[in-house]
Amino acid sequence: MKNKLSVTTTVIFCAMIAVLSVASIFNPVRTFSETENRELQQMPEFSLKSLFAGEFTRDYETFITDQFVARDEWIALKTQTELLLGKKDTGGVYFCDDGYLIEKTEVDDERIAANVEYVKKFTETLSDRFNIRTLIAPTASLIHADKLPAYASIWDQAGLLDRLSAELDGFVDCRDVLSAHADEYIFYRTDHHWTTRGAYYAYTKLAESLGIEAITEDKLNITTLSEEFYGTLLAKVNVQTSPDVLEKYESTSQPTVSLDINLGLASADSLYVEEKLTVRDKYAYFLGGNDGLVDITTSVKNGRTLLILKDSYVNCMLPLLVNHYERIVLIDLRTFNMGVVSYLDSQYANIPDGSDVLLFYNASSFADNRQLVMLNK
Amino acid sequence: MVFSSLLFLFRYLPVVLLLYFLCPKKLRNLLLFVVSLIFYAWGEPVYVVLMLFSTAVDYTHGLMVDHFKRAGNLPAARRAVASSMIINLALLGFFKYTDFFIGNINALFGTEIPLLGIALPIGISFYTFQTMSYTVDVYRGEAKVQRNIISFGAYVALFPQLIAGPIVQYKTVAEQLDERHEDFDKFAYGVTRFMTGLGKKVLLANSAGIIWDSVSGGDLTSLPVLSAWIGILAYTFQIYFDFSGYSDMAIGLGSMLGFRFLENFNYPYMSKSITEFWRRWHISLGSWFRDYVYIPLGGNRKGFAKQIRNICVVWLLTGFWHGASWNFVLWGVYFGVLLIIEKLFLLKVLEKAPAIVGHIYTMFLVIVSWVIFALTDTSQLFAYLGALFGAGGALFDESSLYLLTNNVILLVILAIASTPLPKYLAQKLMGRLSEIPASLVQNLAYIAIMIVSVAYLVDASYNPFLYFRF
Repeated sequence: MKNKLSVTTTVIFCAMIAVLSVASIFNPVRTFSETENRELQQMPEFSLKSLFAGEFTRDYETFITDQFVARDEWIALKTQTELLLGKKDTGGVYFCDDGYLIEKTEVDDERIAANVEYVKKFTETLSDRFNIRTLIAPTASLIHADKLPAYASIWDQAGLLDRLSAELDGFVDCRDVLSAHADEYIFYRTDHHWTTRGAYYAYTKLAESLGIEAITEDKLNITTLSEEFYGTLLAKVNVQTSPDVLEKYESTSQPTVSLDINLGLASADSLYVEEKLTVRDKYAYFLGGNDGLVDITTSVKNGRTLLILKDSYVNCMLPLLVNHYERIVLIDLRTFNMGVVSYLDSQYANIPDGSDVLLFYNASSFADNRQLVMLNK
Repeated sequence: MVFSSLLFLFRYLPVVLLLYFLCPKKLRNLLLFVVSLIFYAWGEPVYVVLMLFSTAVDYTHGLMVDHFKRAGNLPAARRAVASSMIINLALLGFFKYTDFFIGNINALFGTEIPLLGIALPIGISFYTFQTMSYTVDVYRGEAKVQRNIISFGAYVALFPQLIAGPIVQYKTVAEQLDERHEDFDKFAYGVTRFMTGLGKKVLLANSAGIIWDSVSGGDLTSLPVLSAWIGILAYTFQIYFDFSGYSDMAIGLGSMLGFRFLENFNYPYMSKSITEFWRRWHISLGSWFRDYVYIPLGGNRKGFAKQIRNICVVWLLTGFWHGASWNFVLWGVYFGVLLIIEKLFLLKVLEKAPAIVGHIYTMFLVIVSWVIFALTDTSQLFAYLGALFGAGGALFDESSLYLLTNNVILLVILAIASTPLPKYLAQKLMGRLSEIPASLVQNLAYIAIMIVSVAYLVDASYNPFLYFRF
């Protein structure tokens, strides 16, 4: 008793399973996903120990998911289905007006409170030695709040910035200057960073606070680096959209620089990494990535030193900042395995008293930062 | 391993199906036994020993019961049944409930006995119940003794129903273990059931689960009424589609391999009373408690007082079976009380009332029951119950409106999918089409479900396993 429908259903099912299985087994293993900008799970090494600890099986499952054939296309299909269902966010990203993608950040109030305290303590402890500024850059979810879907609730970024502005000496508030230019291209539509233009406006505000003379627009040398920049937020949802434009801002008399990375581990003579323009995450053109300690010496002979404790938001502003300092030291606490106070007291630092010290984070990464405790160690 | 994973779909399943149909019939039970053990051992290799132990215990006890019965020594046969029960319940008790008891003793007497911190072996509540049913069925003469330990092992470990049910009673598959017949019709039926289940789990349950998690993850004491209802409604759908989806996948896989398992869900949210709800929800568990607890206690044949007692016992146990935590006990008691009230008079009232009254009454009580079920922390539980009725303060706020506008289509789909309407419409459509277009439409529909499900699994940010407490 074979009915034809049963035979076709059986054949189709077996064929689908077989094709996808074989295709996924023979799909070349990738080490890195350009689209998602992250390392992919590799085939885990088998050992009885990892098997019994459940590590092997867990990693193997991740391996299959990460290395599945046509992974990016599947993700795109999921996003399309979600959009069809009327969803206004998926994969931690809001679909906003004018084609903007804005990150949906989950924050922990206790962590925010702790981070505020770390920064306050740091400022109080060191303010008689250094000239300390804190720039917490507002993100698109605040400046472009009007573009968010109706009723979308975002974390209280304004509350955090209000609090910092009231309680912290040397806080540089960039909200007004960015809001005033909100109709310009100051945030990428597909990436969580600000554009170089956005960074430029914040730079004028920072310069004002540090008492340096900002480079005016007519003295800027603006270069378009790429018109094909597809950012990290897009990678999470993989919808069809037009790419962002990446630019660099320099002064007409840009100084030369030489970089010492991680205490002599590497060196460079440019703030830019040209190869990054050929890969997906083009923002990494600025400085290449996030090394723990980068010591920059410039051709500006004014004896001024600036120490920046930072995330990646400052990277595209650095070409402007090097115009004002003979030396700029960058510390990224995510990969810098040392307390900042101990570093300042150590022989490596050699940061003269009276130098400028800048804490530079975007509001999301500040709210979610797990390393700020290292400031006071 | 779970069914709703790329690992199962594109590594385990193709290999198992290929081996199974290449394998000579005589060796298929052995093959099933081995691959089921691998399925179980994935992620938790050590606990396989436990399952093998349970298998060996019940296999030998079955033989003993049979031997004593043949020898006419019924007391000895009864002792063998009791011994099997004690060993199974001791296993279950030790691995599932020890820490719960220690915790309560500590709370009660202020002692500080350290918790054992035992990880619950997955599916232990299912397979111990299955193996117990076997010895009892042999004793009652409802099933023949199984002399082939491989066949018996295949029954206990059978991967389709191993980790999340249905609880397959031995007598319902006894014959199929030794003599079953695989064909295209059964395989194709299995495929459609499996796809249905996969879609229910991956597309419906997981999507509903995201809503519930976002609501229940916040501060429950200030939860607006609207958010609270959207949240618990989402959970109501999540637990149904997740659980019935697993059952569909189990029944489907069983059918591909030539088995016929009994149904486990029958549109429970269409019920007009709580009594009816429990005839439609997790049917295999209800039948198990009926056949092996309620009826042996006397059921309804020994007077009303005893019947009430029996209902109380069954529902305390049912609640406790779902997890070692007080909220599950409360959940069982809640249903026990409702069922007794219905037995006393309410059922008669409901029968006379318009159907809509019964539907609303049932769904309201069922939805409230899911609050008790979902929140193991008692203070959270009461905060949530309060929030449903306005204790959170506001009727709605911005985030409730976002929840609503963002999920309204999904909620409507979930509601429709939990009724027989889609099936009815599909049958109507198929009836109107001639054979070839009908088969085309049906196959395309299942292909679509499969492809979209795979897309959701590839981007697997959320794919929980809900039965780790069972």
